[in-house]
Amino acid sequence: MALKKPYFSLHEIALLSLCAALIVVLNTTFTLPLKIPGHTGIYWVVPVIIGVGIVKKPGAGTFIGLISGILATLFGLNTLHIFNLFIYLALGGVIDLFGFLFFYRLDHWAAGFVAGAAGNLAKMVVNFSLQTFLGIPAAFIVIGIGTASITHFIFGGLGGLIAALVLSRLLKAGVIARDES
Amino acid sequence: MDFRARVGLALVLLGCFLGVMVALDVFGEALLPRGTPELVPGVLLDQSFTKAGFQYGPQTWRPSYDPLGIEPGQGVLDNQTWYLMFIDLNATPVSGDPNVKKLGAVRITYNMSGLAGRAVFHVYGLTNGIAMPTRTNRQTGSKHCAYAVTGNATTGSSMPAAMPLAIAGSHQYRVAISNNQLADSDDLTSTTRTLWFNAPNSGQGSLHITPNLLDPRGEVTETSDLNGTFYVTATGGDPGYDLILLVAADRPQPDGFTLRVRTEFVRTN
Repeated sequence: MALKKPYFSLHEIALLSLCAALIVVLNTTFTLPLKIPGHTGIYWVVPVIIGVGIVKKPGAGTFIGLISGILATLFGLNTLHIFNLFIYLALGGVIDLFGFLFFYRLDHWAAGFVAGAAGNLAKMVVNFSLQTFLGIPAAFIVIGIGTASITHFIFGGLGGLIAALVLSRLLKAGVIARDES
Repeated sequence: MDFRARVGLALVLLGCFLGVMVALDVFGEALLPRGTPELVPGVLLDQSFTKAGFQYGPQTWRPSYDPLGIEPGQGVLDNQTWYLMFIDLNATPVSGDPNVKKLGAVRITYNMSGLAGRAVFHVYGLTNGIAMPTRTNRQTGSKHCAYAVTGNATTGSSMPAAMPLAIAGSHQYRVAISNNQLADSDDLTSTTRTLWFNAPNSGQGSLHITPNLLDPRGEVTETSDLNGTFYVTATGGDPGYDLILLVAADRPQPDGFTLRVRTEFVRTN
């Protein structure tokens, strides 16, 4: 009887898990003194886009989001505790979706920018939704949401640009192949 | 649909999303339902002050990273002199932190007599975060706020208890508070409070003074009513504050000057 081939290979699972761990490491290591909403997106989205860009399979970003969400919850990275999982899943899931829509050409600067910006905005939307769910009046949540959206867009996009640059360098160096799968 | 078209379409959709968010920012505050304010029984501070409570001045500024003006909406004006009184309100407005469910504002009721000239109220909030600077109401620009009262009593001859506060290069100010009714907490029973700021304009925009809870980000209120009520609200998401009220008078007050301040907590969710 033939063994069913797993969806992700061991190599891919290891790579995606490392990307997930890297998000948590970056979150705990970098504390940029910028008092701008969403500025952490500049490094949050990088491992997710690189992971999705290398593995090129639907679900890769969601897998990274799930693992990093579990790690963030265990390490107590912010005030939302177990609900962190939803934030990380949203970030990973949206980048997953955009990777699929862009034929996994996330090494292209524009695709990287859009995927990063969308991922960071998804994180913001889920964060605000959770806060509303936890009892913060929506009228308070929307105060400054326009500015917060724009800064999330910019910083997520910049993170996406960094990830696209890294991916294109890896492609040029022959470390990964465009049609590996 | 080819790659470039998909990227372009995604960018357009994100642009539309940003537009909706900006519209929500502008109009959402008025459209979205808000909890009915409910006064929580219990008076947190009820104390009367005389002109001896003005312990600082004459000076043209109030503490921040760089000196801030006192006249609402204005920078530091060299042709004005103010006398400052700091009052610990024994209360905190709360908003935004998901760990805190009882959101609300602080209601301040004042009763004055013998006020000469103008008295302006500003507010400071000492945070319990290690790296978070002291918050204060925005002095100028968008959404600046303050509460000013004008009286017609005869100007006093002097303010013997007042000494000018020195501008601190460290951007940190240790100020004496004028009230003796203090919260029963070890680190709050001291009669001084330390205000510190870590960058230009730091800490502005989280705390607001408003006469109306339907406008939580506040406005400048000018009144000649010596008895009134206003609220201190928070929108910054900090868990809480040690709230300090700054009362600034623009001239020496007569011996008969009195100010009674009463604070209560109003739940807003």
